[in-house]
Amino acid sequence: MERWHGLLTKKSDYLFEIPMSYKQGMRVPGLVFADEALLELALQDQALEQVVNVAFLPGIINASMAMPDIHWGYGFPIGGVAAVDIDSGVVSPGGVGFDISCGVRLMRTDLEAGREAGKLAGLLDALTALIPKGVGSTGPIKLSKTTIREVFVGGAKWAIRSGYGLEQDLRHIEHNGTHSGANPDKVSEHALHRGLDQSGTLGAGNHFIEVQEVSEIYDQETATAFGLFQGQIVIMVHSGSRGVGHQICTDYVKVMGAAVRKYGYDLPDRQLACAPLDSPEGRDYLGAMTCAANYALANRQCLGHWVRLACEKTFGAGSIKLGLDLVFDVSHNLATIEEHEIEGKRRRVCVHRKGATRAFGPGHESLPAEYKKVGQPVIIPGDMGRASYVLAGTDIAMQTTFGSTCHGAGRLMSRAQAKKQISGTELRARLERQGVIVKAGKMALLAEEAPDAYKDVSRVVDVCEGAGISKKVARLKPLGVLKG
Amino acid sequence: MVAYGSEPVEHTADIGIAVWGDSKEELFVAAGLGLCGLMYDIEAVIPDESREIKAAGYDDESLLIAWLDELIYIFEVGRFMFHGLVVNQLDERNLVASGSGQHFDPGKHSGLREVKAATLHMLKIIKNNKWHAQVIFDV
Repeated sequence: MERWHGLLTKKSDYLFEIPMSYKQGMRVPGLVFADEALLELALQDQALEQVVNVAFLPGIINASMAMPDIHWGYGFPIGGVAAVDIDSGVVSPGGVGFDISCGVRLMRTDLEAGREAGKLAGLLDALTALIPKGVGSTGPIKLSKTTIREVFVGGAKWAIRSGYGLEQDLRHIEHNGTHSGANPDKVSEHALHRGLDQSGTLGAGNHFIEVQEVSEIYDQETATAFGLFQGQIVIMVHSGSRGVGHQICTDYVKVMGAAVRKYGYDLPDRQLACAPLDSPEGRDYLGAMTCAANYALANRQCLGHWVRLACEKTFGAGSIKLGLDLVFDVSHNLATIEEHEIEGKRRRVCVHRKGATRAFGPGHESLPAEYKKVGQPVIIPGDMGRASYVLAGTDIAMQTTFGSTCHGAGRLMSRAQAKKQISGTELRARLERQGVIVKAGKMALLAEEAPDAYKDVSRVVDVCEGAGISKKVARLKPLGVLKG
Repeated sequence: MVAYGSEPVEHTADIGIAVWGDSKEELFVAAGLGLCGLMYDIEAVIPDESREIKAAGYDDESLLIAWLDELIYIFEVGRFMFHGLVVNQLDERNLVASGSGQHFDPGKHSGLREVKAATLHMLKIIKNNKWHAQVIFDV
């Protein structure tokens, strides 16, 4: 892969700017949140050229942004953030991704890892038995063409009303568990069919459920507000909208390809295909995308329910006695209409976050009372060998990145290289020597997800904190991982 | 000598294939089998039944993507695996193909990986003395 040789100005230890003069057609500069070390990694593929290309989008405001975990994607870089004006801006499926509303939720317990070490293997076994996962798997939830429309509109609320989880979970999910504006009529038959048997399934690839221990607290007040304490057992679920999202993105990339010609856009990369927000194509995409987002919320809500059941079975007590609660559920592939203050005025914008997480700061009106003082929880999955993190949103994020931060570590190595370095069986043995129990459906897929294949998430979150766009709250150590 | 084939292409986050064929039809067959080989073990598939596959686009590239996306759909929703593929009709906008294979039962068969979609990323179709193409899949 060719190294990027564009123009970069260092603005601070954690911020670099690509000036508009670098490429004719840029409407705003590029802003890269990184330190020198992470920037060096970013320069090794063409991710920064993608940051430049995003700056061509009509209606883009302030800057085309790159989070510290940036890497090469499709049109938009992974780790890209772009906000556009609601009236003059465009929406681009490439700025959301194929796995619409892929995201993470973190569940907390009152259990201490030290005390319960003997039960962890049993917990992983219970999760293995309960969680539908793996290539081609289905679960107990079978939707019809009618009920899937209810999922598209209801999201996590649908799941709770169908018996998966508790009403109180909703206040700890973005948008209270249901995105408004879903339009099931704009979801194709293919997308509908892909979703009928996949509700409440984990999937494969880089999706996982991980049992973790809170190994370090960085901000005691915020950790307490989030219900976290040192040595605690927590459980993280990483999954998305499954085939529904993949198909909706596929369908609308085609629609937008035609829209670019219709609206006369001159874009440097056809994967940035887009249409005005205020156009039939734009409205149709948002309506369908929202269905996928709700499908993902319902999916994680169902998976969270089975996590509760697995814990209840393993520890012999109900969820309330175990203190089993949802800390928060975040998405890291979505475009949402939000209100932000820009040059002293409140404006409605559409924020594309592709491999980036919403990170609203203290006082934001969307936060539940218990989080208002400390900011929105941000769940950052790392790799299965090292660590994951809980961060919190900040005022600086609201001022500089439209309330956005990183989403994880970003890959460093291709899947083929990862498999050459280590086999799935060797990797499992190595992780188990480190004290991580591994339950994986496919050894080859496990090898592709080896820790060495990813950047060091600790560096990524340190840079986010250094740049002020989120603050570290807790570090989570993997104890056991379940993969498809 | 095999007139068509495929081999993997390195990509940091996802997986690609480079395919070739003497004719455009063979190119599309190679691409289809290359994709199927990412999703399941083609060699182990018993050619019990036949299926017809149709795809439509507005040029070679969009047609190739539509063809590949349809194969993903047939595996994921139709739960059908192909052992072999034949392109019966191909012009710039339409493809009609058929393939022999069997039903996928996750209890009995082992899928290799989930493929989300065929992407436009680094998509190339070139004709010199042979047809060549490169496609990256989002996994």
